[in-house]
Amino acid sequence: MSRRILRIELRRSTAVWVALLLAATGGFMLRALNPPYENWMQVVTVQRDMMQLTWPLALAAGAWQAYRERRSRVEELVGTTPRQRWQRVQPIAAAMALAAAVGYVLMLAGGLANIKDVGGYFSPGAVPIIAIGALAIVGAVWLGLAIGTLLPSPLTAPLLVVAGFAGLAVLPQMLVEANREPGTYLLLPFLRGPRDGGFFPQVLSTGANLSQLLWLAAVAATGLTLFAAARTRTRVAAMIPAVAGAVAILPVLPNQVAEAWLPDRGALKLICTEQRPQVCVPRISRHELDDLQEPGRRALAVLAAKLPNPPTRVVGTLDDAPGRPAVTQPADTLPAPVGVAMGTPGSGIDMPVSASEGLLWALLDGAGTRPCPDLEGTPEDPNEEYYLARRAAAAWLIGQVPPEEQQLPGGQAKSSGDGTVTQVLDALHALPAEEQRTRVAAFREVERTCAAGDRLEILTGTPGPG
Amino acid sequence: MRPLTRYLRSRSVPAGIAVLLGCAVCLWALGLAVDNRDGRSLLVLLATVAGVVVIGPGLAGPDHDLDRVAAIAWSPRRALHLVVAAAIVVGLLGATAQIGDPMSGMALIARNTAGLAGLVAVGAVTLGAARATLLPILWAVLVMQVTPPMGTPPDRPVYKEMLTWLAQPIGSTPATVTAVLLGVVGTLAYALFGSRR
Repeated sequence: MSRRILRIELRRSTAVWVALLLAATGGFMLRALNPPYENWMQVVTVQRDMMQLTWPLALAAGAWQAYRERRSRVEELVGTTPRQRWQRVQPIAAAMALAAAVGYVLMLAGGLANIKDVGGYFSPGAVPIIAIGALAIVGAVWLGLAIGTLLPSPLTAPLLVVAGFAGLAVLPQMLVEANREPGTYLLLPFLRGPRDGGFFPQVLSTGANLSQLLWLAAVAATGLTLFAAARTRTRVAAMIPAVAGAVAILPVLPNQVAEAWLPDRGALKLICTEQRPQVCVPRISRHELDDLQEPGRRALAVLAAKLPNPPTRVVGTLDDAPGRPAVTQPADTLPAPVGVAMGTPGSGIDMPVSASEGLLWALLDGAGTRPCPDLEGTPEDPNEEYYLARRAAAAWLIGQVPPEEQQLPGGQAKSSGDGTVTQVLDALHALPAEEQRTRVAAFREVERTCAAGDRLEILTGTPGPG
Repeated sequence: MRPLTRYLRSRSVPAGIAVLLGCAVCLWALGLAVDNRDGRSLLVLLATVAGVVVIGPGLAGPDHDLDRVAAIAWSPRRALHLVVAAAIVVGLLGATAQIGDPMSGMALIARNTAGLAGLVAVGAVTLGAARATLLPILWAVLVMQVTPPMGTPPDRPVYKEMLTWLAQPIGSTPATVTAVLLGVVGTLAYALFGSRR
């Protein structure tokens, strides 16, 4: 196959349109239908997840292209040329594959326009995810060419979109509950992100990447052979790669898709300011460093002024997966929430104040500690009393009633029954100044080590209402 | 009777009806397998898209010039063809969706079919009957991400509600307006101009 024929085929087929269609629809979905992405890994994973939509589109594009000769009524004419079918279809298969792969990569431009920090950390784990996605879309186009050849009808392409969408997007979700996808879901062209770990930086394991690579390459080979085959016997033989691929990788698939996602150590390397006191963030949250510096240093100053043995540096900490073990936090470090934790209940940033002020409150929450996982309660039933105590410690350190209660007349509880931060603060202020200091310092100690004990009692001397 | 039979055959209606029946059977079978409420109504939406897509290729005959020179008033016949085809889709899929535990309301199926059929007709006028299905398919695919259970459709501003009319619940006025508008514009355009060659 010469380059000249490929060029003609690129001009005369729908290849360019297919590339544009994939890039435009996928790019639009990446750009418009999702909130801004935190990092690169998230963009490429969402792009793979969206293959529930783009994969059927590519399949239909192939089927549409395969119908060309019938549509132009030159099927018999072309059939009489003295060349084998497999030789004849090479240029169009190459042109369509090229178009699909280019369209898939161009799609990323939509994500590029929607990422918070484009120059930020690019995980090496993102490269195989993009490459395997491109391979999957090439396989879809070839499979579509094969189906379009076997079922030459103007209805094949649109019905393939609907059927592919029902099969990829609707049924897998209906049959298995979220986060419990079995490992066989890695056989599907789309890839679910690590839902369990929230936005904790993760990469897909090499084993999972390799099995997907092998399987999707086998599917693409089957599609191409099926398209190029002229006889029934060859068509049956075309199934061999797909079957062999499935047999080869089924035993090595993990039990659940979630197991194939591993933490990304490279993303957690700290980037610190030169200026003292040091403020650090993980590499993946580099863009948050500037905003963190001012409130971070203010929080360090407040702690140094009011408590003995204060921390000396601020370190941005990502929200990790639920079920993390309780570990003792180092005394010289003030943890700062970074990543998508912003604005979730309990992070304390969902308030009507400036971002810097909100960050200060979040930093000093629990006297500058992270909440202990075994005390937080569940997302459905959070331990309000615990959060109240942590918030009151921050209010004592800052010397103000928290902003969300400042407008309330006379410290009225917004959620009655649990009391308000103002009430806890008043109880604390009723004690002698030296004892207030000792109690908050003790509170910080138990929070840091996640020791047992009623937090409100430690703080004020009287146990909580519940 | 002969002219009608020939007309129907020239528009490949028998094959279309067969495919439509296939869609209805698939919908019925999937309705038995899936018990999630949102999932069931999403399947009905997909079946509606498939059903309307079947109308597309039949919007033009095999020989454009032959149709054009015939001494037949095509405009009312084209409008009738589209309306009857859409009515068959609504009737068949609507009836299927009501079997057993209802999967989706009749009004919703009628609204979506009306809008999608109008879109197919617009596609036939602008792109030709063979490519007519591109418009409803693309619109449906782009809207799918905000369709329950995959997502939630926006409830304001009005233009977003109109763009996602396929995903909106039946109570949404902008969605109904969009569907009716598409249906009317599509039917009028197709009746007046016919399919592009």
